Amino acid sequence: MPDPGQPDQELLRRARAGDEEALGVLYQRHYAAIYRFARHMSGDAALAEEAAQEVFLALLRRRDGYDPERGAVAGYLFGIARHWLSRRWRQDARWAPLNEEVAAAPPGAVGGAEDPERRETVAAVRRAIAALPEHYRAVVVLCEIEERSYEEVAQAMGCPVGTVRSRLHRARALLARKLEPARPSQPAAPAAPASVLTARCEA
Amino acid sequence: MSRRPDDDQAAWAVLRQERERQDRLDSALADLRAEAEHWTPSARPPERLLAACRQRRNLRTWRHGAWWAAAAAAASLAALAWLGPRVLPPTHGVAATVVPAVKAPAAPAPAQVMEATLSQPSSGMFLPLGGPLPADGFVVRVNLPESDLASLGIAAAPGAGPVPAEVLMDQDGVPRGIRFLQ
Repeated sequence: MPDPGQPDQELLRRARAGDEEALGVLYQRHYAAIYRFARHMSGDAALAEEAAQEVFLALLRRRDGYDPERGAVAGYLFGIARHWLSRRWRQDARWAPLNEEVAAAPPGAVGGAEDPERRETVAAVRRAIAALPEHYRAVVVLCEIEERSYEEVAQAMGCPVGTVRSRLHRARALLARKLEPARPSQPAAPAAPASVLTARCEA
Repeated sequence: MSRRPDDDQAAWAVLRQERERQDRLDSALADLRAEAEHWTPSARPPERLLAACRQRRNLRTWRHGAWWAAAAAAASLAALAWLGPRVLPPTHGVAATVVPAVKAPAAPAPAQVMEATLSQPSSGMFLPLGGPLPADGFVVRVNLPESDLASLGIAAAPGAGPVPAEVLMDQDGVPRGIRFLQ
């Protein structure tokens, strides 16, 4: 039985050698996060389940795909998931449609909240995220929802940390604008100065 | 040039508005995060993943066996090359006699490989074994028992017996490809 505190790298080595228990520990450690990421990205529970399983299959099959020098196993797994989803969307010729099931989340599903206004806000933010371009959506999901470090996200996205920061900044601005409550009687608010937005990004 | 109080107030209003907007977004994202906590996928890997893991183990065992078989074959070949051409000097007017080739003691072949000999490759394509096929290498002919065919994803009729196959080894002696001769 592998030690639950064993590093991912060692578990990965053992799983690739055919150790089912090591695979089980890796699965328990990362599967839920990969599933959530895929579901936030696609808005489709079944597709997310398939994506997460494919990630682990790829993990077993790729001989030398993971390089510990480049970051943690988690970032590597998110990267596989992102590529798999992109490929799947290209094959299906669809771009992250918002699933009916997701749009109609069951009452009380929002963190146990019964407040209809809050549910509506969550549904709106989910729609807004689904409408973002893929590279912005992935950054928002990983940084803001999965609360991953910039380094992990950079590894998953295959880009520098600075690019992750700028994409997150831009994505947040887009989301905030989409979530702006409609105020037909008031004049449009002036755009925030660039210095303010930059300050948020650096925070 | 001094700033007017109206300018300051307008700047503060913009800042406040932006702060409110960001707070609203943070709150919505936190709600979304909380909702995702309720998504609970199965705690145990599905059978499909476990089967892939088992397949890795079987393939590894088979590769290990094939490597030892190749090593044994190479040792036998080297022994033949060393001892084969040697002849005894003629004695009592009798023509030279060829000493029978003595096989060097070879490493025991694993159970998976019943026979291993170096041979010229027959025609046909090799199936890659988890990597690119080498441009040059050597071929080992083996008889694979039925039990090992399943690990390669091939269904064999029960009682069919061992299947002759050729294993393509690279220069390091690692099996890179296989093809079945039957």
